[in-house]
Amino acid sequence: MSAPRAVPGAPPGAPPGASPLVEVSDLVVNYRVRVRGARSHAVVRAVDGVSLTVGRGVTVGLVGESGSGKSTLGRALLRLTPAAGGAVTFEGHEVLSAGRGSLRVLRQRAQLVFQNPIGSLNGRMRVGSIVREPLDIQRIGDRASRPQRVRELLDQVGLPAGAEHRYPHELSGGQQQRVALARALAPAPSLIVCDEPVAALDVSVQAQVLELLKEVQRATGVSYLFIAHDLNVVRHLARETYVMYLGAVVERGASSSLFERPRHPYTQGLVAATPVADPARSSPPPLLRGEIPSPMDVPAGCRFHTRCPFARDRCRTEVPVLAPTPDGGAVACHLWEELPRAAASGGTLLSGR
Amino acid sequence: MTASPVTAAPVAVRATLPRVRAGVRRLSWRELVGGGGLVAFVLAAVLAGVVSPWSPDALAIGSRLQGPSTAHLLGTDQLGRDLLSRILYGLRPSLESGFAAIALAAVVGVLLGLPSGYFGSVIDSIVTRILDLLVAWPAVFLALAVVLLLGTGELQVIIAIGLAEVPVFSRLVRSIALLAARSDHVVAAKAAGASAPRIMVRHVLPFVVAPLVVQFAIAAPQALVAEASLNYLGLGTHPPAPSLGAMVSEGQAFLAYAAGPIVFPIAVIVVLVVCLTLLADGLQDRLDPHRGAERRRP
Repeated sequence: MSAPRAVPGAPPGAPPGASPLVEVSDLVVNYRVRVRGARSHAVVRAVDGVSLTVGRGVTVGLVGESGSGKSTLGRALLRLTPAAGGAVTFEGHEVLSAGRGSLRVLRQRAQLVFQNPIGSLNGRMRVGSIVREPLDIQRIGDRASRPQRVRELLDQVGLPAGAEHRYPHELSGGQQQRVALARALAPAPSLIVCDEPVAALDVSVQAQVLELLKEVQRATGVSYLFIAHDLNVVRHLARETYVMYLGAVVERGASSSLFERPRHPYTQGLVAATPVADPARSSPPPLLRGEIPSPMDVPAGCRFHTRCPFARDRCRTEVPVLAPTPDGGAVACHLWEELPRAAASGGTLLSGR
Repeated sequence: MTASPVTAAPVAVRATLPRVRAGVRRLSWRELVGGGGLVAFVLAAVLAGVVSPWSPDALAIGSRLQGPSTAHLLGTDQLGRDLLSRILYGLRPSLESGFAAIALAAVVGVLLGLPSGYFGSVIDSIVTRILDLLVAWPAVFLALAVVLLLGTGELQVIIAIGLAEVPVFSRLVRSIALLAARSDHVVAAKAAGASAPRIMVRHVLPFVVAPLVVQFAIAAPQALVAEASLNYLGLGTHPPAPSLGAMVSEGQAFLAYAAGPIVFPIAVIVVLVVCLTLLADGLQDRLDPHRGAERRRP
């Protein structure tokens, strides 16, 4: 395992461990979209001023419906998608303006695991070459020692001996995701952005992969930014969770309190919509109706007001800011103090506990 | 997977034969006929010096424009040269320049199409404009322009045909690179710090190869016809070197006296083109996932 390298431009006197691993502030990511019939491009704010912190050795959850901008956020903070504004600090170094040297460190210390394992593996390469590639690119170890390192990595993610000679399509979905994780672990990263890593897997395999992620975290101290739409998965893994809606964070908090007592109506809706394995409990009527609005046309005021059952006039005009809550989280809602505290998952919204 | 590398050589050979036979059995009739025919033509061209009954340039003024006989299986031309021998020798430049032209088109097509699809934006626009310029010219004028600039000869024919085929290859490569560049495994390689050339070679190019082979087979008959046409127009090989196209144009003047000198070269071109087309069809079926069911013989 390589120690974090000293990088030119590091803030003086900031020992590793003192600052959080990743600090995102006011990140903005725009997409230019060609509108049919129009001459100019429309600008879509996929991520609209998001701030987020990931500590060392922890898992931070990021949830939201598809189209909420969570994957874009994950890619922008790795500089795989250009950001239009804001700042990202990784291991004390500015990411968005990083030069070649700092970028090289980022490419080594921050990795990515995808939702669709087969799509994220090059089908024309054997597993051994796939896992070895980051070592070759970053020139980690010498040529002779790399096969040994690949073997160790495959072992670490629980793949059987001989797996390095197989092609990805010869493996099961769970095994493919293990290969993707081994590749991500190869350069000994301090952060792995997991973009829905189990959403495409069978439920039984999901549990195994989640367990593996935990195990790897215990062994290596890697941090995860865990992007998912399945709240049960996030609750299982993340200590802290951010909820995104239409490119903005609407609620943040410790996973335990966030899922037990969601404050934002959107989070309440998400929690209520999560299936609970209890036949005695009748499922409540769904709180979230309709579709997420087009990010090309974000509603004025609170971006959630079009679907919010509690929306008032103020919500349609005034943009709510993230305000701290007593339990250490934050919520972007004008009404959170007046709203009934939602009961635990599966309970009816209005009856409280 | 079964034979271990330590087994003795004869055993390995004995183990290979059934595997080859099984491989041949898996070929479709198109691939068998087309590929077999192509192999036969290539062999004939390569072995022309051995199998030709006569020298291609041996004149025999006494026996001009003869029909087929035991001495001259396909008869003779206006100078008494053996037609079979001239066709065998003429195959060589046809196949050579046909394939060289397409190889040139494929290489240039990859060099243009790969960055065009991978980077998009400005590079893509520039490459697309260049290709539009090539396409805007009819192929024959393009060939004439090349010959005007560089003179006549086999190399010039190769360049002319190759240039005309570049846009097809480049667009094919671009379309595949466009898709591959947005796939997750390329993003993963970027996240690991891979350089753009490395990604293009290791993560995009491998997905281009199979469709490129099919396109190669599709373009080959076109290139052969183009080669024959350019030689027919007198822009290719210099007489007395034999070439199928030049034979057709020479034989034309004597069509009233003998059909052989013009019919046999044309027949060879047609059969060759049919073989290549069959092979291309067969390969395309093999690589098209939607037509998987009908490609296998019962």
